[in-house]
Formats: sequence, structure tokens, C-alpha cells
Amino acid sequence: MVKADKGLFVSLAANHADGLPLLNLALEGGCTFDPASGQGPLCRMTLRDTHIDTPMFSGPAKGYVLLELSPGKLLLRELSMTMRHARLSLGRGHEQFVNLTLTGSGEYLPARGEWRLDKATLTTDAGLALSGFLSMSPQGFAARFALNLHDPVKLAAALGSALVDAAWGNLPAGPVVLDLSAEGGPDAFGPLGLNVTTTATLREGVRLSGVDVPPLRLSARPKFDGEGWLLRNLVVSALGVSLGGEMRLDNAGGLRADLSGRGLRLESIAPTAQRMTGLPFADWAAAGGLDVAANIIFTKGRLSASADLSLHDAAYMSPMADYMAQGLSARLKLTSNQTAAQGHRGGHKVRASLEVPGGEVLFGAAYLSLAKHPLAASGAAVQTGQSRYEDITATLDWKGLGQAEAAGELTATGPLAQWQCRAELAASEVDLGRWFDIGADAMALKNFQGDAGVEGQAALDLFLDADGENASLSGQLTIDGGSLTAKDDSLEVRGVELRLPVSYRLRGPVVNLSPQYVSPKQWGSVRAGLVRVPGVLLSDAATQLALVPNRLFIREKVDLSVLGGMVRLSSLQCDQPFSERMEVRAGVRLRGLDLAELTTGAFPLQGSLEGNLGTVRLSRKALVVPGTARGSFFGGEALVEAIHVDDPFRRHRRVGFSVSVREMDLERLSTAMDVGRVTGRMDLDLHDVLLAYGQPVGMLLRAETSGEGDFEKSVSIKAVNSLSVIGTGSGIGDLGVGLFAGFFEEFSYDRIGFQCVLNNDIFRVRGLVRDGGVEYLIKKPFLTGINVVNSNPNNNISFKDMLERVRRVLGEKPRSVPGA
Amino acid sequence: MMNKCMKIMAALALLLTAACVTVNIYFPAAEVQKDAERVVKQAYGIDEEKTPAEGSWLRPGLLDLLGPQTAHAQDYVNLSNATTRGLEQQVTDITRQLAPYFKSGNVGIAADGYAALRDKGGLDMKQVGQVNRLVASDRQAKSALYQEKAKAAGTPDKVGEVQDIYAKLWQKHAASGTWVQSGSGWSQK
Repeated sequence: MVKADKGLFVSLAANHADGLPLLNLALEGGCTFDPASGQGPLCRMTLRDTHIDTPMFSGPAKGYVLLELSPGKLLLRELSMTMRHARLSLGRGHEQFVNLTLTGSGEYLPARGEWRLDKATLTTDAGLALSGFLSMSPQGFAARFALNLHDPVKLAAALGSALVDAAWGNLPAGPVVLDLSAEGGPDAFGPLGLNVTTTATLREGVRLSGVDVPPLRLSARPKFDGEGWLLRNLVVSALGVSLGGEMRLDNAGGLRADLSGRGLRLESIAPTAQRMTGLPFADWAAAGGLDVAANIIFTKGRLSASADLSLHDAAYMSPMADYMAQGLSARLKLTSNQTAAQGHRGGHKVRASLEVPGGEVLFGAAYLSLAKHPLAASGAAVQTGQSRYEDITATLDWKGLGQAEAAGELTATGPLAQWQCRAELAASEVDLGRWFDIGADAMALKNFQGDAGVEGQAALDLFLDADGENASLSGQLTIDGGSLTAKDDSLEVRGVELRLPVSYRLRGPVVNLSPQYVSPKQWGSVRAGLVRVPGVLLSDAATQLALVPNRLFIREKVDLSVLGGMVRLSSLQCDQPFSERMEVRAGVRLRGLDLAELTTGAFPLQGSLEGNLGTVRLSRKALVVPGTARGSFFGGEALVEAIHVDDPFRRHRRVGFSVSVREMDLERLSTAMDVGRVTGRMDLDLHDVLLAYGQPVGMLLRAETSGEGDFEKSVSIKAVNSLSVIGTGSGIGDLGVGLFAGFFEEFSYDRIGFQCVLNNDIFRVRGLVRDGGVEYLIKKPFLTGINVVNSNPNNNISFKDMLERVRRVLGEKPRSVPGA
Repeated sequence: MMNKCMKIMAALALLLTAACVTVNIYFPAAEVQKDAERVVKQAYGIDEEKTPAEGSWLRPGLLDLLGPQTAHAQDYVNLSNATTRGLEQQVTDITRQLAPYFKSGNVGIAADGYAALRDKGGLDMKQVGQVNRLVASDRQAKSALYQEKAKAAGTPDKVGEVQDIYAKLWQKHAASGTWVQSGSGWSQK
């Protein structure tokens, strides 16, 4: 073994272009050689009085290197170098001190003049580590490192004042691993600095400021020109989308970046944007082109950023195709200005403007052409916190549909319903007709399209106050020149003028007021020149009304002309008018309603109704009437009760009621019906009547001669025939009774009694007079007269058959009845 | 001893026979099925006389005696009334309005029996809106019909069973070429 472990000294020096030292390596040590080991001579050299001074970092270095001399190359078996308290320079005035340790191994190939450093690891006490390899030769330079930012907070602390204050709130939550590489040719380290291509790849996404940053790749050709670094050919790529540009970092800590991309495809961007924002559009499809131009400038403690996004021929669609758009063009401009001081405490200005000049959108069945109704909006706000905006001003101009302005403040954290907001909202020139047309088209309300429908203008002046738990609206709604007309003249409302102070609770507990506690300034007014629906007419009607949490009150009583009489609505109010739980309540009184006005077809009704229906309640599910109406019906005393409507706003609404009539004059009834003459008085109970689509669903009818009254009791042969047709489907001519018709035009009777039940389209008719095991519909007196016997008590009559029988009796022409 | 053994055997046989019979006294499935066939065929405009399967489901056989038997509170079950007739007409109207879209393949019958937009190819935005409205109306009208049929059957809590019966029939009687959805996705009849 040959041993010369001391006395070897190597000095390496490199200077800056200005002659000042860049690197001054002083190595001292010795070598040993053991031929039996099969290895070349091993030399251990220690760093002595070494100082490294690069633009980025500088300071004294300690360490050692273990070298093996072998044929044709010099093996770098071990390298260990430590810089304690190394000065990191991040621009003028931004210097920090960290501890650095470099370890690794490699080789030197003299024939190629190439240095290789493999398994190199640079660790710091600033939450950052690098590992990879480095190669330098006269032909060029190559380096590949993995940068592990395992403690972002520690790094931020180490960077200290060099870090933009706003970035403190935007640090990644967990470790970040970047793959870094740099390559350059023979001039990689020329007199003008670096001339290499560098890339940084973020293989796994990270979360920044609550936003998921996807895996991305940055590449650039950095150049140091003495004044700072210029990243030329900068390309940022993520999920198939690339933005190109350049970035400059000057020695004073300033930064300027310009990035742009044209013809980006929404198909690629949309999934990324959805993931980054967490918005619930994961299953939506999007297509179209997007041009982006972004600019970031950080200089002298001021950070400004702007972005200009232009959409071309864009389209989106929800999974069920109930929300979609196509041919959309839009331009969104965003700018933000912030000083370091503002960033620390918030307070930078954000501006946005949006123009949507064309395209089509669909909301469910509602279609809107943005080419017809282009939209322009702009706004500005001061961001005083991560999600806090103050001094918000916004304007919206939607051609033909209205204009709106807003001003206020907003804290946008958590779900939308929990956002905190205080804002004034003003909408003007809202064209009610155009908005109604969109809805009428969507619902195919043909009776309200074309010249019919809604007209008028509305204006809203509201103040929205939401603290995250409670939200309320206050202000005023105004409608001028309002009208609503139907094509078939079934509805006409004209000359509506509304001035309604609004006070409405959108979220949170509601204290319901009684009208006597509504203050004078909370009362508004509504006036209608004309209200006309079949059977109802109102002209030049006016009342006061108020919308207070959460009830709409109508102050005055409303008198409606109905069926030649009057329906008076009092204490009219609507609870929760804008929710599914909406309920209208009103005291309802009827006066002098003439049933003759209800007459349709060949059966003229006689009678009248009046009474107190009590407080009627109308909700989306039902209309309930607690009171009763009394009156007359063909000379008898009538009582109508248990009035109700199920599903009142659906086409299959069911109307239910029960009617009792005492001592109805059969002569008047039979004459009106033209079913033959019947004299006498009858009690009639029609219970549990349920009507749908204008036809009975079910009922229980009992009709019996009234008491033992002293009145004429006769029935004509025609009436017997009618009753026979209804009860059996056959006239008396078919039964052989016609033989007697020539002799007897009228028969006397003792009692009439029958019951008719309808359930699921099946009528069951039973006689109520029982004698000697026989069931009579009509029972004759002791001597002469006529019996009508129900000989088939279990007979079921279908609804279709019964309709046919009624038609035969009333002499009506058959009408088309669906399914019957 | 032999006699006793015979009695036990007979009792066991009786028990086994009885065990094969399930009595459902609540839901008149057969009547609902028959009624649903009528409703669905009416909606599709199918002539009932020409339907090959007609009548076969009611034919009594030996196996029927061992299969589930149905006992009803009423002797005669009629599932029609003014409400159901009106709703049937509504469903028919909507189905006829959807017919061109069934034919073009834009709309199919989903596994739950409701119409669904499956492909908007060839439709402009307004037509998609119309289809959306019809599809929503179809769901609303059919849902209401199933509720009323369950009520008419005296089993208002069996809406799910009614819907299951209808769901199969909407697909079964759909015209050839109509797209139908199953567990494995959409396929064309």
C-alpha cells in the first residue's frame, strides 16, 4: 500500500465577468493506494477557506470529497459540503440566510471533459430539498432534480419579506414535489449568464387558496443579464392546455409575466376549471374556443394582475340537457391591483366586466336568445380578505329585459346560502311582457301567447341583508301599466299600478305580524282598471297592500261580482307568497249568488246561495272551506258544506262538497229538467261529491219524499219512463207498461226513495222503500198508483252507461267524454 | 297404526299445498296489470284486438291454483274514475306529442317507464326545450296517474307497485325502433 495522506493541495477559482470571485475552492488532503484492492488510488480532500459567491446564494463552505483515480476517469465517490448561514439573495433588499447541505457522488471523464454528479442531494433548513443529478461538459449542461417543498410555511418564513404578503394566505396546504430539469449547449454558461432550457413539472395537484391546482408543467429559457432573470419561451401546460409568454424577475425583486393562449378548447379546460373551483358541474359537457391573455406585474411592492378571456362558439349542457347553451360568445375582463401593505391587511381593487353578445341558452324549457337580448355587466370591488369584498358596485344591462345596479359588500365563504352580504339592488325598465313570454313559451301557454299575455314595466329597489344565518330583503316593487289577457277572453286584467313596499325574510325565523301592527309606511297600493273572468267583474278597483315578513296583506275588503251576486273577501292575506308553502287565507261571504247563472246545456238551475264560508285557506295542495252556504234549490232549502279542492293548481284538481236540500219542489225540478211531471216535495242529500275534469269521481245520493207532508204526489208516465231509463236502462215501453199509457197520463204515488252511489265509475242504485221483501224506487198508495221496483238490487251500472241513460232522459246529444 | 300414518301423511300434504299458496289481500296486481295494458295501449294508439298477448294472462290453469291468489275487499275491481280518465287522456296527449321524438330516437323510455331525452342530435335549442317540457309533463302526469290508480285500487300506499307494472308496459308496448333503457343502458327495440 502506498500512503500519502497529507500535503495534497488543489485550488479552483472562477470569477464573474467583472473579475470578482464567483467560486474559490481550496481542497487539501492526501491519497492512499492499495493495488490488492483492485481500486485505483483514493484521495480524500477537505474544503479549506472556501467561499462561494453566486448571484443567488453566497457564503463560506465546508466539507470533503472522496476521489478515486481510475484509468480514463476520476470517480467522485463521496461529496459532502455544508454552507452554514448562507445568504440567499432574492433581489435587492430581499436577503435571507439558510443552512445548506450538498451530498452526492459522481465522476469526471477527462477525455470528454465531462463532470457528472449523481445522487446529488441538497437539503435546507427552509423546508426545501433537492435531489437528482448534474452533468457539465464542454458540449453542454444538463440537470434533473426533484424539488421537494415539504414545509411550505417554513419556506415562506425563510423567504420572509421577499414573499408577497398576499401569498401568505395562499400557501399550499401540504408538501409539493416539482420535477426540475435544465439543459444547455456549450454556451450554457456564457458571459451573459445562463442559456439553458428549464422545465418544472408538478406531477400531483396541490390546493392553493381553496383552489385545486392540477398537475402542470412549466418550461422556459432563463437568462440572467445582470439586471435580473428573463424567462423566455415560457410555456405553462396543464391537462392539454398551454399558455405561452415570458416572465422577468429583476434584481430588485420585481416580477412581470405575460401569458396568452388562443383557440384553447373548453372540452379540455372545463373539467380542470370544475375541479379547481369545486363547482357542482362535474357531469356537464362543454365545448368551444377560448382565448386567454393574462398579465402579472409585481414591482415596488405593488401587485397587479389582469386577465382577458374570450369565448367563441361555446356550448354547455347539463347531464339531463335541461340546462344548455350553444353558439355563446362572451368576453370577461378581470383586473386586480394590490400593494404589499394592502395584501397584508387586504384592500386591493378587483374589477370585472362581462359581455355576452350572442348565443342561445335554455333553462329547463325556457329558451332565451342572447343575440336578441345581449347582456353586458361590469363591476368593481375592494378585496379586503381572502373572500371578503367591500365597496362593490355592479351594473347589468340586459337588452330588452331590463337593467340592474348593485352596491354593497360580500363575504363569500362556504355554500352560497351562507354568504354574508349587505347590498342595494336596483332593477329598472324590467319588461314584464318579455319575461312572461319566456315563461309562457316554456310552459306552452298558448292562451297567453301572441297578442295576449302580460304587458307592463316593473322596477325593483331592494336592500339585501344576509349574515350567513339570516337573510332579508327590503325595498319597493313598482309595476306600471300592467295587464294580463288571455286569447280566449277568459281572463282580462288591465291598468294595473302597483306600489308595494317589500319586507321579506329569505332565511331565518319569521315573526308574523297582524295587519294592525303594520306601520303606515309599510302599506302600498294596487289599482286595477279592469278585472274580468267568467262570472266575475271588477272595474277601477283599488286597495292598500303590504308585504311584511312573510305575509302579503290586502287591507280593504274585496267585493267581486259573481253569478249575479257578490262574493266578499275580507282579511285577505298570503303567507310565504314566494315559497312552496304559500297559503292564501281570506274570510269569504256569499250574497245573492244566482244558480241560474251556472246553467249550461238543457238543465236550467233554479235557486240562490249565500252564507259565511269562514276563513278559506288555499295552498298548493288544497283549498279548504270551513263554513257553509245556504239558500234555495228548486224551492227547497239548500245547504252546501265540506267544500274543498285537492291539488287546486293541477289539471287533475278534484272539487269536493256535500249538498243537502230539504223539501225540494219536484214539480219545478222535473219541469226544468223536462223529464216528465212529478209533483211533491223531496229531501235530497248529495254527500261526498268529488268532481274532476268536470265529471263526478264519486258521490252518495239519497233522495226521499219529504216527511208525511200534505201535498200532491203524482208522477207522469214520462217521468216514470225517465226513472226507468235511469234505473234499468230501459223505458217502460220496453217493459210492457206502455199499454197503460193511453189510459193514465199521471199516477199517484205514496213515497219515492232511492239511493245512488258512484265509486270508480260504477253506479249502484238502490230503492229506499222496502215492503214485503220488495225494494221500491216509487211506491204507490193503498189503492191506485204506480210502483217502480228495483228488481236487481246488485246491479252495477258503468259510468259510460249512466251517462248514456242521462243523455237519453235529458235529450242531450252525446258529447265526447274521454275514456267513458 | 296405518290409519294414523295416513292421517299424518294427508295432513302433511295439506300443509304443503297450503304452503304453496300465498294470499295477497291488499294489492289487486292482476287488475292493475289489465288496466295498465289498456291505458298504455291507448296512449300508444295500439288496437287492443290486434295485441297477440291479449287474454293470455287471465287464462286460468292448474299452476294458477298453486300460485299466488288474490283476495279483494270488493268482488269487482274497477280502477277508472273521472280523475284517472282525465289523467289517462293527459298521458295519451303527451305520449302522442312525444311520438315523433320516440321515432327519431331523441327520446326513449327510461327504465322507470318515464320518457327521457337521450340524444339531442338533430334538434335545435327550442326543440330541446319543447322536449324538456314534454318529458317533465310526462313524468308529472304519469306520477299523478299512478297515485290515482293506487287510490282507485284501494291501496294508496302501493304507488311503487303500480309504477313498476306500468314501467314494464311502457317499454313492452313501445313501437319497434323505440329506444328503451335497461340496467345495461339504452338499446333500440
